[in-house]
Amino acid sequence: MVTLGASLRNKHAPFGFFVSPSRPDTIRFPTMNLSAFISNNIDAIVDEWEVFAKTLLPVAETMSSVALRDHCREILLATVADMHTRETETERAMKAQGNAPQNVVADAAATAHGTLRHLSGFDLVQLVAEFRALRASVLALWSRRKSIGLAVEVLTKEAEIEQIMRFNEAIDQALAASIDSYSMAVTTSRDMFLAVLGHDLRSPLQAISMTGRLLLRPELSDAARQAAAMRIERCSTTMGLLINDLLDFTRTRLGSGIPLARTDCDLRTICTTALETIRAGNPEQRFEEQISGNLVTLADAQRLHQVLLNLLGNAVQHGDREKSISLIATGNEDGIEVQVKNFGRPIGPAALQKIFEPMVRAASSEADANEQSKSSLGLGLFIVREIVVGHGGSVTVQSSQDAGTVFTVRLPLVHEPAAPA
Amino acid sequence: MKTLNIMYVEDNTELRDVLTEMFAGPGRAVVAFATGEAALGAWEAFAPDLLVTDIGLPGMSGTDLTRIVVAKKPAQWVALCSGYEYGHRVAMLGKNVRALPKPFEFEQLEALINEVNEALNPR
Repeated sequence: MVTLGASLRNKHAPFGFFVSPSRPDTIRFPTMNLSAFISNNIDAIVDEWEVFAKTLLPVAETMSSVALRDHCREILLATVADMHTRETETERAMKAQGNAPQNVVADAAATAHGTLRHLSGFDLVQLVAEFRALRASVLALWSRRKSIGLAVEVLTKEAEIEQIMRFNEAIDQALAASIDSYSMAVTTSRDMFLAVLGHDLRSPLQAISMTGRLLLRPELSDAARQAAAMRIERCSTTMGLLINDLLDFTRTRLGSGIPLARTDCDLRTICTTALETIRAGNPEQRFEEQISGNLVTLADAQRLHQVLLNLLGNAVQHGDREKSISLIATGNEDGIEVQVKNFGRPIGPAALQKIFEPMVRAASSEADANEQSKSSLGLGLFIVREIVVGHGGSVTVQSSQDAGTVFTVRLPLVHEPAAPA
Repeated sequence: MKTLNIMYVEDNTELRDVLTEMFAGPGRAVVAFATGEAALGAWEAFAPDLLVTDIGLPGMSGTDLTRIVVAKKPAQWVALCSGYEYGHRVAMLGKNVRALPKPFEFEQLEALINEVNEALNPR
């Protein structure tokens, strides 16, 4: 981790509070309280804190550095504002017993922070750790302010304690507001998840129930009867897949991951079977396949079948009906690569980045949820990634108008039985 | 009795197909759309006596669609289909707006169609 002293020395001195280490006593400093100290050294604090925030997460990838910094800065500034309020409140409290100070600005910043952290995939522990780091960054710098040349005069012990107490109170209040809004964001996304789940399950259920009623009509032709039976079949499959996805999703959420039963299996067979299944469900869609090379590896055949079904199903759902969907599988000594390609509306870069995240996380706004189509929880691709990563592989996606949307699954070639865990 | 025009909006293809088939019958004309936008585009020309729409649609929601058409024609009959409790709120959308649970029984829909028929063709 970069030490604060080092990062400070590399900066130009803002507000004249920095001093060249070689000539430490050429500038005199006014007595400075902690809140002024934070405002004056905010860049240095944010630098140190950012280093920490980035260690927290793979999630930080979904947030730009600018967004991370802006937020930290906002919270610090709000904390400073809150400390000022407390100062005046304390003076007032000495005359009469006042109520606990409230700071609307500070609360608003911390509230927004909590919501955003949920959307970026932080968990509560990480959210709290972030605040702890913020507190530590500020206090460490404050306690060393004289030795690193940030201030010359020192406050009395009592004044020092008073300052730190005010700061801690302000940070605690911001943390409480953040946690509060984080919990609300959890509730909202759970509600949205359930609403979409309701929609996803109820539509095919309603279709099945209506088709049942239709079948009761004596005047129905044989062809219509046949079509009705196939509709029931398709709808049940859809519901079954969704329920499986949900179970898998819950499993990964509970931390146990998706269980894999590896045996020697041939991806060639898995590709062919998955294509057959998807062809049967979508007789009007054209498919192309190119399968070559050695595709035998140690893997969970049923799970890889699920991966291909999800990817092909996704391609059918989003692809252009007029153009064919291709499945290209190649194997060589480096491993196995399976690509599923469709030509549909290209996916924008922001959506691409979040495509493997379930809707609960990915939809950062109602507009986003709409864009992703309200009739999809986005569990399918999340599960694809979980399974592929569980196999020690990777899955990536690229999308453009000319090349179409291509999902690429890479799997390692494994031949020895995995050592028992 | 004049033909009853029914406009149906549902994004799920299977459900749209089967309900369109179920709606069909003597004295009825049915058109179906997958999105609120498409339905709205055809609304004026088709002049449905009854608009049946799902609430959760990609893009424009069924509720938004209802608000727009009721603003243009306050007496428009609308059945809003929703998987969650919405019953108490639909009355605010218009005097002839009704809620249908999802999944609904076909009888519930037939009852509504009869209500619309009677309102439009008083004996």
